[in-house]
Amino acid sequence: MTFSSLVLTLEDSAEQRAGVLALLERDARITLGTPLEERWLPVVTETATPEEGESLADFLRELPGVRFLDVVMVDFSGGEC
Amino acid sequence: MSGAPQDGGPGLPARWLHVAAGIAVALAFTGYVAGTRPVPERPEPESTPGASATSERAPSYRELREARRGDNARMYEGAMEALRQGLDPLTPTAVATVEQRARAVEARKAHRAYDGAPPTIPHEVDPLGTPGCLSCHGQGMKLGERIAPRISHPPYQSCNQCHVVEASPKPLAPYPDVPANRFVGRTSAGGGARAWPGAPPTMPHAEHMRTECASCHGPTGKPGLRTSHPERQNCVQCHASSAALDQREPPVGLLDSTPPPGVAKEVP
Amino acid sequence: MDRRDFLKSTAMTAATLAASRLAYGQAAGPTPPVATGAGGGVKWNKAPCRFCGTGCHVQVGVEGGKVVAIAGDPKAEVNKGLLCVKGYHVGLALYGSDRLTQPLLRKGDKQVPISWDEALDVIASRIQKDPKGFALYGSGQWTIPEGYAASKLVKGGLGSNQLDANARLCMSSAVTGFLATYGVDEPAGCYDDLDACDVLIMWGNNPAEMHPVLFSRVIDRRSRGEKVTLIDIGTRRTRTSAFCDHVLRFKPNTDLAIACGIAHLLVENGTWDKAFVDANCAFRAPSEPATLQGKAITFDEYRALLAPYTPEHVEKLSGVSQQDLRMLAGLFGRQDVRITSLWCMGVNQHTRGTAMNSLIHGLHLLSGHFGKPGDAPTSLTGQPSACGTVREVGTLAHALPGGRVVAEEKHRHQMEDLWNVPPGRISSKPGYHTVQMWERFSTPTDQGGDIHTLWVQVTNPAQTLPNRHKLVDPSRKLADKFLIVSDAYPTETTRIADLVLPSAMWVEKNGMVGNSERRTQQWFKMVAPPGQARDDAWQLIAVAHRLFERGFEGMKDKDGRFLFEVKKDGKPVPIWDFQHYYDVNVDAHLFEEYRKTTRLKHKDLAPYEEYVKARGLRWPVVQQPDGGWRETRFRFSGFDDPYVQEGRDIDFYHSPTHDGRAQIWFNPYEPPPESPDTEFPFWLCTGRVIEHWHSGTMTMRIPQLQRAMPSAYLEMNRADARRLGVGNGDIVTVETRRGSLDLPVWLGGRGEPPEGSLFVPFFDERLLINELTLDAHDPFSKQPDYKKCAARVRGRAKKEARG
Repeated sequence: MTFSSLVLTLEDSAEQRAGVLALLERDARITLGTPLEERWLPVVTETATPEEGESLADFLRELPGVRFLDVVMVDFSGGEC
Repeated sequence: MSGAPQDGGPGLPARWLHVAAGIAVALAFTGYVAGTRPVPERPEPESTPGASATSERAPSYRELREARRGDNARMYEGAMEALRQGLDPLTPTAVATVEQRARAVEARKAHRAYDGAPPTIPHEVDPLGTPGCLSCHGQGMKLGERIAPRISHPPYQSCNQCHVVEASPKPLAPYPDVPANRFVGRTSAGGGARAWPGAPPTMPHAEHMRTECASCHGPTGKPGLRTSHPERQNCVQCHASSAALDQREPPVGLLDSTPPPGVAKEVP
Repeated sequence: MDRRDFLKSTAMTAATLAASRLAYGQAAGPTPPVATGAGGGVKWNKAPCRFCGTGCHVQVGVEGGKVVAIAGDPKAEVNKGLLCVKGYHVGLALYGSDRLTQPLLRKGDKQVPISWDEALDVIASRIQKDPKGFALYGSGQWTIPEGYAASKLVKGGLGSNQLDANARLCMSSAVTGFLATYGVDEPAGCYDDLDACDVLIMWGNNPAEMHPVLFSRVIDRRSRGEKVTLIDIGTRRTRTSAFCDHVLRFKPNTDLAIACGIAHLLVENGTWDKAFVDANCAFRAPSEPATLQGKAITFDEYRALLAPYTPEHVEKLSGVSQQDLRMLAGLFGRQDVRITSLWCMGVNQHTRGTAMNSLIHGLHLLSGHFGKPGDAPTSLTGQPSACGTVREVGTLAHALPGGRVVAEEKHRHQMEDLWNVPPGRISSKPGYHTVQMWERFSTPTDQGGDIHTLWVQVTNPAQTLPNRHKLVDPSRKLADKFLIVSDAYPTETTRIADLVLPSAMWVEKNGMVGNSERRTQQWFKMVAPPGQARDDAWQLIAVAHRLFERGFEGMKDKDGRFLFEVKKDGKPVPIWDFQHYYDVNVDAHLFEEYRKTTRLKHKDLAPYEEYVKARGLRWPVVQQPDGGWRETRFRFSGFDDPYVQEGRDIDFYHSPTHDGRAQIWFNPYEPPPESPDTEFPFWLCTGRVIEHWHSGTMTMRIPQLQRAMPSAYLEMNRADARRLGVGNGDIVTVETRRGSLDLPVWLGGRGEPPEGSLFVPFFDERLLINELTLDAHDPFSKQPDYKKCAARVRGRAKKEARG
């Protein structure tokens, strides 16, 4: 397993933000943290491989409602367990 | 005078131009003389007061603007678009020098009580009706050397709620003997901090309410404030805003909120 | 915890930390408090704006002990980060170069510097000479703790009721309107109504200039694509009119006919809200002799009284077309739109002010446009704490804190208990209201002028009182009358004072104020006042202590302790010594004591520290089972107000008839006391402009505001100007039966009156238009009418020709 720590910077619009949150909640690979100032959302993704993690991050980056995505940390040790 | 001249050879447009230019020069000269001459004292009314009531009255600018019909209707159509051209030469420009920056800060100071204050208006405005500010400042405009900067924040409709003229509106006389004010505002936000030489500087001023960076930092901004890379449009991608200046301080409880130094916090 | 959970929680911690860096520029968590300063060491802190009753919050930037910048506060619900031009320049109000910095005592025709110690002795001696002849005249710009300290000093300490405030002249018709209708003062709705209304009706109101942030709150909804219908019912074209869908011009004073005309149509068309009225309202009409309570009438009687107000008749009276009247009645008759009404001085400064206030409330009640978000009759205030201090603390001649009155024995006992003073200390005899107070001060002592010393704080009565020649000036020629004035700048009033005290202002002191929507707001001192300028509350407490030192009984409580004693760690703090005034937070102590008085009228306030955290809270603020404090947005509405009886949608629990019902008043149109005639053919209206705050003491010292609006002017219609042969900028003489004034004409200026009307702003201390206005006033509120009288205009040339 690979864990990635990400921070999503959401758009200003409340509707778009709600849309993003609703979408992410449905994805079992994604754990949401508490959004700070309703705008900066800490997220942890849990994927089978680092590659899958990367493509998931790319997918999130392109979502409408997400302004930026910062990759904080990727745990590559997961391959061993 | 509607419509183009019906006949005439190729010389006619040129002659028209000559006549028009002549009139323009004459008008400009009269305007110049009238403008520089001291305003004459209103003469004692010797004639009967009825005379002024019956004489024809020149329409005011507001009335002209409101008159959407008649000979001059639609005469400015398309003109605004033409003036807006030339605002987007998205080629790299030179990096500002220290001196240019100092000049820009000085120039900004003339219209602001402090850095961050709404600038005062350096031209006359219609003191009543719905302000027409956005017709020039909405998209930005360049007219010779004069630049109407594009609005930097979302277009609030009531512009003159925050922006007032900086010279006494005619015909009111300036107030004599006003006590001076010793307020010393922050004059400049200064340069933004860089994490290391060559790193993109952070925003030294609040981002709050302002979304159009190009208003000051675009190609029509003051030389000291212009970006060297106007082709890159997403400024906040590289230049981080300041949490403190944008009042994004942590919520109460997350960090202790203390009153300013020297102020008792004690509560019975 | 297994390894997976551990890795996941580690990853989440990292992500949260990173997010908090992005959000706050620093790590969250139990780090030591970090100064929020940035950008060159500027420290920011919240404060409500110093100027009007809107109650915007600003962020004040302080560097090197001085205010250097101002920003709108995005966390404030009132203004959401936006300000007006006065607010953006409020920091400059502290730094006029002629601030008063030391106490000045009149010696002969000079005012000479003295020490604070001497000043306190002078005041204490004046009081001791005859405590009952000492009066205190304050302001709607007093902070809540200042007003409370004043009340305690005069009512609990001196045992008299000689305390009144300038709000008597600006808000009293709104108060009497609320009392006549609901039995309790202040609006039921709040600014949230502006976000929800479909229709906004402005009655003689120009919020684009006077409450610009609230006005933007509505018109910005339009920019976002919402549909809001704006209706201007006024007597002149203003900046507000320019944004309105319907602009209705009426003849001065006929607003009552318009309101009656709408009610008539609602009743005749059967479009009034019968269910709402049956459940929550009763009808009322003026009695003989006239009282604020009036007499109860039936619906049939109400209908009969309205019968003459047909659209045809109202059109004839008011000049508003039948079509527009039917449009208004049509809107009020619809249950699918939300209607908010706004009004301020146009309705209040009116010889029929109480009646017109009641009629607007009545229209909303009759049509059921009440008590739902967006459906509200909302009266706006002028001063930042007219509500919080004058109306709620009750710094008035007949009142005690928390809605109590001196006439009621029970109320006096409650306050005597709280203040721990002997029973009977508080006098049951009301003091003099503003006009009487100044009248007595200007009358020789041997002719019944029993006020010998008058202390003025935070207001400029020599400029703003009506009839200065009668109320103020005579006292200056009487040797035994003594005028004390606390202010930050020289004013018309300090110039004629016997003792001038330099005051700290705004963020030079701690403070709390209450705005137009029942919102109580708090700020901390951020910079030091200049020279020896000191807090107004300190001045009151220091005088009290000087009397205490001299053995004055009134300044001791039952146990012989100082009336304003504040303890820290069990020991009294010498707060009367300014060096020690900020050893404790005196504001918090005064407020916590005052807070205990606010439950009687269900205007409950939260503890001080709740206001430190919030950008103001709207009362009643009620503690929840979880210990938190909840504010109330919609008063009397079952879904929001905790004091509404269980199961009721609406409950007017302070009803004047004690049955939960509000009163729908009928008040007839009556002609104004003075109308234009052949000798004085114009209507004259006075008012404000966006740049200036009241008498201009602060805003005329702010260059940006002063330059933009440098002087008073005369606004008139172009047709009238042509007829009189006057042009833009000509100096003309405006005359009424009471006085005359030379003013420059401004055509096509800030506003545009219809033919036959004039307008002059009142901020300019060189050009005092109030000397021309009528002194006729409302019979209940005693508020004068500054908005209409008869005037004429003469070109100066003609005047000179006549010699």
